[in-house]
Amino acid sequence: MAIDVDTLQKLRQETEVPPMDLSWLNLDDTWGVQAKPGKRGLTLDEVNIGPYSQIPDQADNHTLRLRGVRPRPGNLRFQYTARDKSEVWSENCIQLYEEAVQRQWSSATDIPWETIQPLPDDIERAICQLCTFLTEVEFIAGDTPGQWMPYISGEYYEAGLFLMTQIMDEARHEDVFRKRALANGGGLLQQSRGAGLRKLIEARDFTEMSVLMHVQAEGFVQSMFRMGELIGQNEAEKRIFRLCAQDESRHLAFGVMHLKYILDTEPERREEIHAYLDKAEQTDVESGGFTFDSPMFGSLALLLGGGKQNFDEGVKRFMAVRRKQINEYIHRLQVAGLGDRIERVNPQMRAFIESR
Amino acid sequence: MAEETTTQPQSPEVPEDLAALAQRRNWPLVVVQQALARGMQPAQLKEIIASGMTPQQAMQAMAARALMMGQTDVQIPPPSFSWMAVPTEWGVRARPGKAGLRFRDINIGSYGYVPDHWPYDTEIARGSWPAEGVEGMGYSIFEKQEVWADNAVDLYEEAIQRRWRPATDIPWDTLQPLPDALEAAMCQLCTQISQWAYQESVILSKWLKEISYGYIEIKSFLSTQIFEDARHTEAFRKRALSNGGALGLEPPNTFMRTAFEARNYTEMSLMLHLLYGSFMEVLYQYGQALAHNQAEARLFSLALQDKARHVAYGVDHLRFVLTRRPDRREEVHVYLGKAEVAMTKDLRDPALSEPLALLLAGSPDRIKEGWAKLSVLRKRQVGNYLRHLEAAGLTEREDRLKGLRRILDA
Repeated sequence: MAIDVDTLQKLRQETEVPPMDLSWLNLDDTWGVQAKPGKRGLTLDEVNIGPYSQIPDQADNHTLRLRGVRPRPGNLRFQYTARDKSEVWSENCIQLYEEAVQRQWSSATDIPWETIQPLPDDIERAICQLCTFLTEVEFIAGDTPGQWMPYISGEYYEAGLFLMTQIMDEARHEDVFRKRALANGGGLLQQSRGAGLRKLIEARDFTEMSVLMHVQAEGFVQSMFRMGELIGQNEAEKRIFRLCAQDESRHLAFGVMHLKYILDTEPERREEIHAYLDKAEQTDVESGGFTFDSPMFGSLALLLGGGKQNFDEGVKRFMAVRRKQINEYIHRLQVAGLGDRIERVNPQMRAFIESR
Repeated sequence: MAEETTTQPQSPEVPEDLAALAQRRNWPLVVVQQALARGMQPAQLKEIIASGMTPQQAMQAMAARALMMGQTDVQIPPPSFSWMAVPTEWGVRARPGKAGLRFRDINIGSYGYVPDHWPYDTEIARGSWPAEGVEGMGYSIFEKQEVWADNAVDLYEEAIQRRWRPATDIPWDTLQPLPDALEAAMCQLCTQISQWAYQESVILSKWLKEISYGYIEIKSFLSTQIFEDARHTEAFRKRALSNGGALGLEPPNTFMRTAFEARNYTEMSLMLHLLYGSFMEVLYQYGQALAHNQAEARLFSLALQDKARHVAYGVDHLRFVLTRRPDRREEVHVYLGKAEVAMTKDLRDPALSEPLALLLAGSPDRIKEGWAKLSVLRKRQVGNYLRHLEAAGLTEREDRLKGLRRILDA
């Protein structure tokens, strides 16, 4: 840095003031960084220049010191954090972070609540039941990334920032579905039976968590949200599903690209990842609530059919949603480089792929 | 809706022990035969019967499974829609107000009742009807006083309404070259703020999984703070790297590490929302005053707006604790004492004080003036902290200050 010698001397020799240490000055040769805003403003991409653009493959940084910050000898460790970039990285996390910041929305003011009109009782109950299920699901989706934050080294802080946006997104989702359930003469209904989501919080490895939560669980939810035009009874509900799907797309994109990154950099982990998916698919099939009496299945089928009287038709449409979920899931795994999953996917899921 | 469960495959033989079990549990033999015909193993079926599943539920499950396996000749059994009849409060119609449909607007009837003790370890939504046989999630906070603040529900909505975007809401083009010493000081200050914001967010994040749905408003508020801290991390890093400078030295982390170690939510909140928050509020106020350009002024001003919410939550939480659990007063003092000692240790570090003294001086030539101003700034920080504690009902802290007393007496 170009702090001139005279200035340093002046600062050190000023009388009647505490002697200055100035160890924070003249640290290195990275001085002179001048990031300039681009078309989308001053994004994290723009400040990732010069030495700050070098993201190490390995890190020995346990103080949560952000990449590029000069280490302070003697600082305390927080806890062991990921040593390898591949453990937490996703090549799109920087763009996804910026996109998330730009595309935040408000459940209070961005949903046209006034478009909600009284619905037939069975339809109102079904939408309230679905919202009861979704507010629970989104609750877990916020807890899960939260518990991994201390694990992410400051060298890869952009991945951490992205997960912080996900926590915010999930809070908004749990809030918007609760609001919908209580806004049209209904209420909350039956708790779901877990929907196999405890597996997300049980994960002991970041990639395991990401594959199960971002790719599988959020993928399934997103496929459902994309059917919002069929499920939603009014513009408010359709807007809720559209905005939530937009958020979920980011979470999913992080997961797919993280999986791709790890398969590219640590191909020896392929079998391990299959094992996580084996377990998760089995849990999904067993506890996904696929009996007609389950609140999630019943309410969604009822909404898709348009009422109790068309329940059979709704079940068929539900199966179409399920088919879409599973085919999109397999497609995403293919994009990530796990194309061989189709050979070993759970038999109950394979039935949908084969019946395409 | 169809009356039959499925199409009728040929009836297989039912093993004696399975038939006996089915009879004991009132399962019609025909249902057992249908299950076996569809490929279910006798042992598997015994498990299902023993689990307490009703024959109707089993028929539905079989039909669903058949549909999922791609069979098209499946007739769908009539569902009971039992979930429609659960005895939760029905007929709730929250109305949007001028500020839209806020969280507070839906806290009506039984849904607005937040119990002092939350009895569920599952993710059950407050106000919904519990299902049986659901796994626990491992939450650890079941008492309202542990996390609650009455203002959290409004702070959550305010945070969302007042969101901002560092990439585009800061007029970065107003930055102009500064004398090297001042640029270095600003970069060091921004490095510290960015670093602290990230650490604060990480610490808050790890508490989410401890809080059950009974106190969803708190979890929602914390999520906004986590997101805002991400924004501060990003925004101050951007400032450090956009005007010809560089990132600086890692700040000392005794305080943040102590906050990370907290084993009690209120302990963590006292440290981050009240002590750290109070100090940062004053720092951001000074940052606005010291700004060399519109970009810095806007940055500190927006960060201050966020930080004021975090402090407001902390004040209200402490007030709630002291009101509901006056016996925790001494415990609170213990946490504050520990926090103040850690903060005092960090404040002694030259990398924290010297850049600020330089910025306050405005030039190395006036460094003496800078130190005097820094002394005032520190006193204001401690004063702000004490004022917030008083607002929460902890009026006696000034007499028990640890470490920070020296700042007040300086």
